[in-house]
Amino acid sequence: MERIDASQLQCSPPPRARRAVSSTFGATLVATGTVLAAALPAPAAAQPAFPDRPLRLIVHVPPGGALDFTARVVGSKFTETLGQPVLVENRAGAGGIAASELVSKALPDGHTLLLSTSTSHGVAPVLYRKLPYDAFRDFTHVSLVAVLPALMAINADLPAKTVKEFIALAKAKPGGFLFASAGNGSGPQLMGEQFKLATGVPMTHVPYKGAAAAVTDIASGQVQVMFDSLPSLISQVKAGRLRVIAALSEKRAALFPDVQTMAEAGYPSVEGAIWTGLSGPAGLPASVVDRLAKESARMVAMPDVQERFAGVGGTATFLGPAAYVDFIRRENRKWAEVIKASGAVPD
Amino acid sequence: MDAFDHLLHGFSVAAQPLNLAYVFLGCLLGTVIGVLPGIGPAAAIALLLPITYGIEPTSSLIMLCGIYYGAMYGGSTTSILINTPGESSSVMTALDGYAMARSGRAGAALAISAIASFVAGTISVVLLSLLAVPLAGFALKFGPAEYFTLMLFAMTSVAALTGPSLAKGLLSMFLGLMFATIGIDLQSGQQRFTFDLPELQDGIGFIVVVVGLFAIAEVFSGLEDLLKGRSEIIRMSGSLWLTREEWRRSVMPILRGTGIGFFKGVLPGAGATIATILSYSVERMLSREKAKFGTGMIEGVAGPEAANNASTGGAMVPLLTLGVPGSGSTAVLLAAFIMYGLQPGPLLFEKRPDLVWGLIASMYIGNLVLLVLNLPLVGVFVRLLYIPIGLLLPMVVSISAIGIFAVNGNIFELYLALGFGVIGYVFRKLAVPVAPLVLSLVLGGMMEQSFRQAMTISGADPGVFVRSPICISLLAASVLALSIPFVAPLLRRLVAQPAAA
Repeated sequence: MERIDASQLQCSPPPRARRAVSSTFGATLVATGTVLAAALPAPAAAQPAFPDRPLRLIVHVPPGGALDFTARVVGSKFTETLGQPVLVENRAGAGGIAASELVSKALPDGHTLLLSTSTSHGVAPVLYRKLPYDAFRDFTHVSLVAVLPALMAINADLPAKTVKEFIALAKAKPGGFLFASAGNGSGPQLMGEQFKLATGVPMTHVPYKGAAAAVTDIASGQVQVMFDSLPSLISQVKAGRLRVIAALSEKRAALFPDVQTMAEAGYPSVEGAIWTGLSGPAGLPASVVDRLAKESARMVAMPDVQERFAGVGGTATFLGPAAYVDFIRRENRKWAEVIKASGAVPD
Repeated sequence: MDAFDHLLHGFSVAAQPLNLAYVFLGCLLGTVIGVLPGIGPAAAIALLLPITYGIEPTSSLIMLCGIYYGAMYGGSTTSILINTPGESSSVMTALDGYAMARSGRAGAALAISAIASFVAGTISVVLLSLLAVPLAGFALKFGPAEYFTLMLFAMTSVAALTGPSLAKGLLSMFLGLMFATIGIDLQSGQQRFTFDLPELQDGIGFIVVVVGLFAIAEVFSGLEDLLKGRSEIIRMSGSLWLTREEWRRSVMPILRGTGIGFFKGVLPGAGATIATILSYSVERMLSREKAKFGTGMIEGVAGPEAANNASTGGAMVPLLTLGVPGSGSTAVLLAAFIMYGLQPGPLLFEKRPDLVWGLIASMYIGNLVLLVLNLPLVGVFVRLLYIPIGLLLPMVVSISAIGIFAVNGNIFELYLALGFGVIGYVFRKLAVPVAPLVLSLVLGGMMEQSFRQAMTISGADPGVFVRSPICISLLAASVLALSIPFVAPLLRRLVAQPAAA
């Protein structure tokens, strides 16, 4: 069936003039603009085309931070390529449950999308015993967008330069070391538990509300170590108060070429990353999924997008709908094992 | 002096016509956002982030920072006029600010908060220029144990000093602490008191409580007055401007508030809010008319407003020197820095002195802009009070509802606010102060987490709370704050007796 893209037929206003803005205030402005545009003589297209009105991209974190950053990159690029404004909406809280539930119950026409993440779809499905949705049945997963591998960062006053030295130091200390996290059930906690399981090092978990507070206490030496991706660590690493001693990825981190990976240190099972992708409610039409996946692949290949993710220690990485579902399932299995073995189950 | 040369260079950056325009735009937006409850500076900056992409980083950051401290300026307006603080740092302003408005001195209250904000904002930028680099490590001295004792002190001083009776203050405080435990527990991940309602998983939001306890309760009281035929339009008494007496009484509170605000602002966490509490308690403690606090004492407006604005200068210290954001707004500012490929930290001062000092210089200019913007607005805002009560009450209800709904888009929170409105109304009838409840709700969660973090770190040894000099002095100050209501009358009797005899 031949589809006609309404955005190509619309003559005014030009798509580039619109910008992705969040909040209801922005939505109202854009909606007003759309109403005005709709009042103009209708284009010749007879079929409902996608997208035919502004899109909402729901993010489960507050503004600022790595995940929100991804959403804003996606929002601004999709606004250009889809020819409709993409509004980034922050619905923070509760492991992404509120945001995920909202999208799972939205009209499956592609105009309401979720920034699915390692938190909301990688960990939450295996962490919480009951969720108001099924992470697979109630969603159409479209594509993976970016991966930000985690690093192991320690207080710079510790004499350890490598994972081996850190383990020796931790084992020598009565009571062991403390590892910080951005909260119970957060990625940094699970990676810490993973490290404990793999190495047998005695460590106690100290949860903080958000990564910033945790990193401050590592910088001052109250807590010794944290596993997290670069955006939360970088300021103190650059200031010389934190030292990166391992990368939790297959390859060494581009920004820390001298730092060995966990596999090189002898613990290939310690591996983790923050990742983000696009998902919609269950039952998205195939044509909509195709269009979104195609635009997503195109966006990930753009040099300026790759550059922006590289700047925060990540890589723009594309996986198509089927591969993304497999990827999420693999992540679920991995964290389910860690949670089971460590006994770190909240709910 | 080194800092002076840098600052001079900074002014040459900030005074470029384009950057001046951005200072003005930022301050204007900040003022508007500050006046509207619900839309805070953090949300506003986040909203503008994608739009500023492509503008030169210095100009864009100058504007975004303008929104941040501009909103602090505007935050007092609704506190004073309709008893609805927009941020937790404006709660203390509402106590005496609204009382002043009730007694016809709204103009003076608004004027003094603009002036206090200007003086404090300017002095805190001076302190920021001089002390940013030496103070860089200060925030790192505060671990969980220090935070716990700091919050304990803030809490006890509020309970002891805001109401006519210590018992009522404590009642309100403990209720607030109980509400603060609702939600998913950070340490164990368990749900506490959520009754399986997903809306309660993240706890009860500050805006919901504050709008309920202050604004909705105000509407209930207004309704009662209206039905009993007691309602009267508030008459302005005297001039819009400050009297000589009001000037005299405000000078020292502003200066003290500035000092408290700046140094508390340097600490990440609830810097601004704690600073306003401490400033208010200090003013009440030093005043000869303690009992009159809460009935429209200008000191109770001038001090906290100064503290609130001085803390923004303080909060820029850890942000610029350490890359540590102390609040929601500075976290979004940090995100803005990172978006431009700039990493705040000691290196930023070396690598981009034009940007850092240009930004600091723009804050001097911005404070002046805000004063010029806000003083003429005083005359406009006080007119709000002339609105007949039959129109004003529905207006307050709709502004409140929009304010709450805009945050999470959640109907449940509107009902919650209504519930808190009832609590606020009952409290008012029983003369129980609401400020301790609000503040302990804001600080209680953090206080509990700091306590438990400190206990985990020390291996369950409570000795951690008396191990550093900072902890010990804060604990001593807490005991002092609690004992004042008991000791002060005794002392007065001791002093009075020989005089009478």
